Amino acid sequence: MIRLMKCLSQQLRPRTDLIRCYSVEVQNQKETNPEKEKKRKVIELELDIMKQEGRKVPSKLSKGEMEKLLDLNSVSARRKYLAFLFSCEMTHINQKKKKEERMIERQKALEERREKEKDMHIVYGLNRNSIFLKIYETTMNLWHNNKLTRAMQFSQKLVIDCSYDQHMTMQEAENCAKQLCYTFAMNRLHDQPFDLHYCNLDTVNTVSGKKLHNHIPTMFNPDFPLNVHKESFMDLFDKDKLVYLTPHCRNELIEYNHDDIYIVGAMVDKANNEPISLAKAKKHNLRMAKLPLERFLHWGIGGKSLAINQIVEILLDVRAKNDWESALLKHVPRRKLFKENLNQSHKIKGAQDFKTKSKITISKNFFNDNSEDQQGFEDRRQRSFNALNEKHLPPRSKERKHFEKYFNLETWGNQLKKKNNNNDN
Amino acid sequence: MWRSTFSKLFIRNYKPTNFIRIRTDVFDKLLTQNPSEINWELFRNNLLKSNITINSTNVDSIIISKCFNGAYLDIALSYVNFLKSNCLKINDGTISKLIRLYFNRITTDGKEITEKDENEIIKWCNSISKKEEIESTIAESIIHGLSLTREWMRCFEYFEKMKELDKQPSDSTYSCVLVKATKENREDIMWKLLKEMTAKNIIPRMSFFLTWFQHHENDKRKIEEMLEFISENGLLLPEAKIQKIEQALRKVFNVSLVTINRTGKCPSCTHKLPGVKLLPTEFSKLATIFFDTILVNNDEFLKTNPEEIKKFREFVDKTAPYDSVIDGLNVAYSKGDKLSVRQYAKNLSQVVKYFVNNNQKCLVIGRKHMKNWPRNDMAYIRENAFLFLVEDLSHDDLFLIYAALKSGPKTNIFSRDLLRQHSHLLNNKLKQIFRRWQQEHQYQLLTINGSNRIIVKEPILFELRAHKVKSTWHLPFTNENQKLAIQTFNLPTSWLCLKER
Repeated sequence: MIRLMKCLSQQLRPRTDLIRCYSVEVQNQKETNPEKEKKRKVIELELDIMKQEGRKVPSKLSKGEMEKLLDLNSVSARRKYLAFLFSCEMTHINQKKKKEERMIERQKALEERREKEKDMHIVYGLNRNSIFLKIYETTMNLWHNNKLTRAMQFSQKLVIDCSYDQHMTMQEAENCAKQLCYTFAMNRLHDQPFDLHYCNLDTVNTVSGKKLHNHIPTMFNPDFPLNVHKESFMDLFDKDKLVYLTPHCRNELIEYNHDDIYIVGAMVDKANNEPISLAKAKKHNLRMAKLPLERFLHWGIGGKSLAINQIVEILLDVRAKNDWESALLKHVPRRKLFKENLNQSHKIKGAQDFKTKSKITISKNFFNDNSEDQQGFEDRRQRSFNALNEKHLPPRSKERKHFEKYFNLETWGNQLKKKNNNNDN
Repeated sequence: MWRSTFSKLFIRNYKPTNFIRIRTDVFDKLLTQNPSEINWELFRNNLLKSNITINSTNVDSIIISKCFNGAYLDIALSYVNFLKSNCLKINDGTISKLIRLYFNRITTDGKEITEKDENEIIKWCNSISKKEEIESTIAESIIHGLSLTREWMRCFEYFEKMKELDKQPSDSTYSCVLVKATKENREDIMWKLLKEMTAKNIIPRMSFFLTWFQHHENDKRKIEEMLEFISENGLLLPEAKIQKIEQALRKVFNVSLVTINRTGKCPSCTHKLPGVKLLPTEFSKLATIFFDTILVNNDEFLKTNPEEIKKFREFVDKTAPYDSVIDGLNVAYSKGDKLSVRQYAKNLSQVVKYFVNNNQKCLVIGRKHMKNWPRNDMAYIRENAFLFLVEDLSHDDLFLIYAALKSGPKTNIFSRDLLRQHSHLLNNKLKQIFRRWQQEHQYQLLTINGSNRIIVKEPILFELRAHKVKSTWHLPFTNENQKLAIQTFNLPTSWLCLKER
């Protein structure tokens, strides 16, 4: 409540700091260290030779990339990083090319549609006619943020422990920052979000902290709905309520307790497999638990490690529905599971999840209510179309069929039809 | 959001274009041609157009590097002549590749270098070494090139330069200089380099050992010096070169190719190979290192906790020495980890029984959850062996190693785990000592059959590296890979028995 009051008072005041909060300033530091200057020269020479030898090297380096190269000590590490930058550049070029191709295609389709519109009586379609009011993105944002501010007052707390930066490599730390960003986003989208607390977060000296601040520049604004602490969770919360979630312990979390404060360690451990979070929990003498991954899932070959955002999503679903099986099946990547041994019900469940994830997610009930109307509407449309074409429609691809449940997209000029017309003529 | 989902409709025909990859079939055709007949201008221009990653800076070195497989030096030289005649600039990267190609050609031929080639190489080396600052790959190429010529002493300048650049020279760079030093009879330089390499943990290439043996065919003392070096570093030679080595050593020794089985008896000289001998100081050093630096040093909560360490130290001081130390859970789970608790307890008690029947005093290390196992089996273990249970969340392997090393050189360990993850943390010399100790003292449980009799894999009780007994040398070989390897736990596939004449 106090926090809310603070927010309100802050918002009523004229804002001066908001103007530059969306751009992160890049400090212009001049290199005064002679050793670094020498190394820079060595690296530039190395780059030259690598280009001459035909290795994979990007055509140009940005300032930040050069800084990162200076931090790498061995030649092979530099080579790997440069090869990575090269592949990034190539994908960028490819994407650009593809974008142009798509532009041309779209223009063609638009023209086609315009021609057709001349003959037709009324054109239906999303960007012509709709019975819905458009909901703007700002409205949605406000609604989501409101959910979070409510969660900050009444919801269960969840702590993310960001103190593992020293145990990660640079790349792992960057991945970790991205996952922390996703964690916040997924929590925001959920119906019953947690009150998230990012503890031990140092945004000045650590790689992951810096990167996270880059991803969310407005993180420290007073009205931003996220709790960020420099302090440890031991100083902030009641010790008896804390439960550290670590995969190395032996106690499975089967009964989800709504009063406990769970802690998730923000660590990406691709390289080292040491039980660091376990050691930390032991040191502070906290209760420990792990997710019941083996109890509910049949795992395939490979690691059982999950991303931070996946763990938080699982916890969100378990908290809302109290069903470990569905939560785990929904959020654990399906490539990690043993496929043949999944029973039939799982298969169907999973398949549906997969579909709804990749396509539009609209509750079916909405259309079922007006199903009769829609039927009539479709019939009429079909008749007008048949009158226009008086020909059979070509078989549609799978993707289309899926969409047809919700919308009829025939008014959109599509190439298949055009081809068919041409063939018949 | 809406817009992004609808735009997906259009990306249906997404196909990544791979125009980055260079086509190899173009080069395959090129390499079979006669070098004087190739139209280089056409070829070069076509190559430049074919791929966006190929440009005027790297096209030369790409063409030359394609000649590496099979060392097509004449084709590369004809290309260089074409570049010269067209007044195109040849950059440093290309020249360094060309020098490498010269090196490959001459080493694969195995002939003496001609004076013309020698002059060419020196000329190329000079042309890229004029600059003050030099890049590490270029320095390595120069060393490779110069090591073939009369100016090979200049290589050491470039070693110094590489040190300044903080780049470690590769094993082939060192080996080519070693080979040249051997041929020029400069042993002082060679041994100095070898010492430098062992300090940096770089293993010399097989080509060096072969030239050494061939060069000193008649000098027994020098051959033995090198054999001692191999033995000291525990190197295994590749089996592919066994015949060449046999020929080289034939003049000094009576050489015979043998295979030695687990009994350790050589069929040629009928000697029994000696066991591993380690000093008592080495044991205590290993034990303290395992406990103080690996288990405790960085974070004692990581693998155990402080109370437990204290308790275990007191326990070992009171009860040591033992005849063997058993990894309780490793033995219990040896038939699979999805059995009943009763089966686990039975497995363990059978193993303890085996040791009791042999009148041995043993220590069993387990975890605290073993307290819930069937009472009569656990009671049997408690009565007939010492039992130490660590916390459920601690690493039991390190306690096992510490107890075994602390109790003396005769103690064995009983576990199937090869303890690689722990030996990995030791430094190079200690790793070797640990491996040798482990090779002689680790017993492994193979199975327990139906009538509860246990079958044990016993350790190999003789040295697995090159060694000398009574003026007879035994030299092990592996077929694992082409390079030289450091010894493993496996039996070497074949040996050379070198008897004195």
